[in-house]
Amino acid sequence: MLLEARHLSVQFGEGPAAARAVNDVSLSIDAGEAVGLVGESGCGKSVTGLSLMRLVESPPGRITAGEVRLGDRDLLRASDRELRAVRGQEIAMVFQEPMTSLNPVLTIGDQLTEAILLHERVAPEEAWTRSVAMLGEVGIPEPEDRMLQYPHELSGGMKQRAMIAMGLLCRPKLLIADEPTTALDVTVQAQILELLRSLRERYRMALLLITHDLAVVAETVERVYVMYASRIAEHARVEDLFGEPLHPYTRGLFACLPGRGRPGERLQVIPGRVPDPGHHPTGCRFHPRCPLAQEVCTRVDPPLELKRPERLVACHMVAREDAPADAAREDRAHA
Amino acid sequence: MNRSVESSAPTPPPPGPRRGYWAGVWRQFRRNRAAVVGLACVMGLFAVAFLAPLLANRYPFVWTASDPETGRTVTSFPLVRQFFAPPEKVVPERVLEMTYNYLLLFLPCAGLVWWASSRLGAWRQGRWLLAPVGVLLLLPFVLVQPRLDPTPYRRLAAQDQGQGVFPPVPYGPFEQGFGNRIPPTWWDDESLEGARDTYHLLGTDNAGRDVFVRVIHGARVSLAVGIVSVFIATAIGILIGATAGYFGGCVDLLLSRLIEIMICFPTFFLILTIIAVMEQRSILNIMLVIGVTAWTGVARLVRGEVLKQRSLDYVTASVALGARSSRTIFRHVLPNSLAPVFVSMTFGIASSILLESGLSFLGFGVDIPTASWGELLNQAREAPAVYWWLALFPGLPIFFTVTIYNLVGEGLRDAMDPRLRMGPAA
Amino acid sequence: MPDPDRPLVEVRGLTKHFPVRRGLFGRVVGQVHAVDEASFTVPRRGTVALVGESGCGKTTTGRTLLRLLSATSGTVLFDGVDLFEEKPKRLRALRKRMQMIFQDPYASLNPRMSVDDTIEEGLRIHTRLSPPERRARVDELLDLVELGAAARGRYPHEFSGGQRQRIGIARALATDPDFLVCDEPVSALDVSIQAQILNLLMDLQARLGIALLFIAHDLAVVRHLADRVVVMYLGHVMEDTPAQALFEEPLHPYTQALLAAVPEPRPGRRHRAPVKGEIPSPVHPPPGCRFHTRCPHVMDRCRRDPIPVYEPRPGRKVKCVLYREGSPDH
Repeated sequence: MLLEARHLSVQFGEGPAAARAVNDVSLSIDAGEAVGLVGESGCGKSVTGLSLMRLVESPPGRITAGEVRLGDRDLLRASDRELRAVRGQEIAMVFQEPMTSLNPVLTIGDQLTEAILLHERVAPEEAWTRSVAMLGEVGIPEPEDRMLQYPHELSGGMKQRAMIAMGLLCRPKLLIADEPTTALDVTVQAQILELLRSLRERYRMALLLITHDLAVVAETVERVYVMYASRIAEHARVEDLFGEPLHPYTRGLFACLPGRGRPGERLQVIPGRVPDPGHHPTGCRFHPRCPLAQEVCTRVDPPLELKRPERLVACHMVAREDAPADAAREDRAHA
Repeated sequence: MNRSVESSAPTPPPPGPRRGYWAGVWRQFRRNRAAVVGLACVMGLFAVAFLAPLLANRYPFVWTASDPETGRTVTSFPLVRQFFAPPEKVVPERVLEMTYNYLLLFLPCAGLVWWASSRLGAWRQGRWLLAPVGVLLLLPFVLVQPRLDPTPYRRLAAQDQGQGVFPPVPYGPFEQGFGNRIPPTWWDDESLEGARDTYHLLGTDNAGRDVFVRVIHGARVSLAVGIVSVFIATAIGILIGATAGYFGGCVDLLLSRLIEIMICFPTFFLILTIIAVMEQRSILNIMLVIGVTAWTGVARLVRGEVLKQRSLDYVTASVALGARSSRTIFRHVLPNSLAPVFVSMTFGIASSILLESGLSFLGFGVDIPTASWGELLNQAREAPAVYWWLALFPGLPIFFTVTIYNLVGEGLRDAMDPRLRMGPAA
Repeated sequence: MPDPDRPLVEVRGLTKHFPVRRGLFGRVVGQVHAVDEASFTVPRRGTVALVGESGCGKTTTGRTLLRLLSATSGTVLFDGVDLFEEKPKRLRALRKRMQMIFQDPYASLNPRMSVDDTIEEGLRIHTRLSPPERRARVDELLDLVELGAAARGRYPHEFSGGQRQRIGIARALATDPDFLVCDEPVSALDVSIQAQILNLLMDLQARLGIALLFIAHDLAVVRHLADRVVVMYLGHVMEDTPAQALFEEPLHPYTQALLAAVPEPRPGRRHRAPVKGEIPSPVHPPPGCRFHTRCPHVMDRCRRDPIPVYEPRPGRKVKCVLYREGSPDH
């Protein structure tokens, strides 16, 4: 177990109007494993990712509960010095907008070497050489020239590669990628995903991929957490999740993908819309939109329970089963 | 419409009061305590300025005396007459006083009509009343003769020859003869022998006029100069800025260079120069000069906003709908570009007041005998330590006014900032 | 006279260049070749999708088509009428027949105008309806987009992204247009809301008989919605085919690369080699075929000569020399 977050809760603002962006979220990542955190906008996935490294802006945000264990340390209670040693070196983060994630007034070279020099005592020349090498590894042509360029001289894909390079310079054990390809074209996205895959292989690096794109998650990760309205709704291995989604929200999400319907036919929809972070419904957050909702769903928030082997679901309506139907699942996985 | 269950049934908009943009701004503004206090003080300042002739006047509200010839008691209302015909000799100043006095009468009536008509529901018809009411209220200002009533009411009252109800401070702003440069009555000063007849809370100035009265009337001048000059500057600024921003190209090029040239001039010296060559230094001229030199900030602000708004999709949508340029500009671009202008106006009032005070302090501002805070400061210039009441008591209102306007301006700016109102992005 | 068989919109050789200016007086130092010689048609009541990645010119095409930008050259015929030759007054009258819905739900509505004022604007400009009649029509439109009369008098900031898109659609439909340009209307929305809006668009099209030009980058959405797909790359139309044929058998190497790059919501690693390289700058586009710098089948003549459009199968147009007459793929 490389990283384990337990019962994480984050809120924004104070008092009765406070918005609980993350509520009792627990997730775990093994060494070398790729885990996906999926959800629509407003579900709290980005805040979860930020809070793993205590990057949530406080105020107005505040981590109100939980712990994040990296090895034997709790990152939420570590000192600033310890945390600084972890950030960049053991855990690195890549963000969505490469345009705003890179400092526009510093050259790429400056930013990369800074990332090394902050954590290791090496000569500047060595930092430079390593940076050039890393730029080459992430597929940037003519890396020595790029080191002298400014971010605005690079394209979106290049910037994202440079960000990934910056994250990997100190060989972190875990890379948290928050919507790394959302702002990119689909061909560039394919390149970046392929890059992440090969880098993970080469460095045995774990990956937490935060995204709203189910297709990207399907192709990249091994396990998936599905978030809805600040809570985990479902957790399963990726084949299980895509083969047989259990939570009504997950099922609804898959059903309304354009690829599922036949061309020209009406798509399935999930009626209603995602609740505001400050105004979650009582009981199960999803009950106003759920086709299976019963009376208990309006009162009691369903706990995240093991309903099948290696599958957690937070839903009153999903029954517990012990033996999975292997054959049926295989068929559905290829549907 | 028949819709199947699985079809999209969107959640209707949240119930509750419909919240326009300004309602949201006001709610946010209210949370800023300093700003709310500032706003209350601004309203207090407005109250003082409007009520000035009722607070401090040499004439009583009502005066009863027995006519020496007939022996009958005669009641007259000297202050009321003077209210409609202020004593200022110079036209612009008199117009200013008359405008204040008129508004003092008109605004409460308008408020009443507004309130009554919205209560009664037939609001459209009710609001038409405002026009005839406005005209009716104008009549006394036109008909009353601008002739000073020379009766020495106070002296007669002191001699028990008639009684009157006087305003709280029974002196006029131009009334001289109380003794030059006398410190406040409550200030123990051994240099003066004997008690004085009249009580002066803040002392007298170098022409023997009561300082407290001049400070109160000076509020009128400062406020008027502040507001009118800012209006002029904003009007010019919006015109130039919006034209440059919307039409772009050569127009923008030329107008931007014009703005930059204007910025290069040091404003204060420019104003001094213009005033020096003007023949008559009236309030109107001061307002004009300040207004005509202060528009550049607004112009750049508006130009920037217009440029930003022009590229947004809703403007494109308006064009796609077939709207003419004029409709697009006035209905879409301008209303959304003016938000920062309000903030700039608030700060502009503060700096304009400061500017006028500075000009008057140097002797380039209002002409004698108009009362202005800066002008009082000017009198203290000779020996501010000796004539400290002439420096302190006009200086405090200047400081106070500028501070409260700045507080309100900051509060407004923060209230309008959309980022501060948005919740966390998850 | 409108000819029912004639396509509603014909785009011929549409070209749009943006000047690049530098210096104090804005000297023109280069051109951004946003769109070059784009040609395609939109049939009445049909849906044509315009797809491509960033910088391909699809948004510019959509706006230039409606004459919201002035074209550098080319023609657009709307129901037989040359849009670029029309005088402003006739053009304004024509505008009520062709409308647009926009991508960003937060920028496409005037934040200071209430919902009914926004929707009503088209009616105010083009019709002489009395205020009660306008109000009735606005109510009708609000029902049509499933927002209901409760939305009256409210302001955009009180609505969610999906609801704002509905308001934008209602605004566009106010004047009863025949043609709607949809500029990435669902790209900024979540998947579940996206499905709602797509259903709405399909319903409206079926009911009102509107022709749609659907600009998008999400191929799954396009596949669901479009009759015909036009693929653009760096300002050029690379392929123009019926939708089903495009997804079953993409002809142009760029289309093939595009389809191969789209991730599928199906687990399992795909061992595909993504196309190399990056999109070149539109200020200095490559000569010859715009895609030649990244094409796995590049030949010498791709680097030099302008590429003509071939039609290897009926109704399928491709701008690639692989499909010239006499080639094995033809």
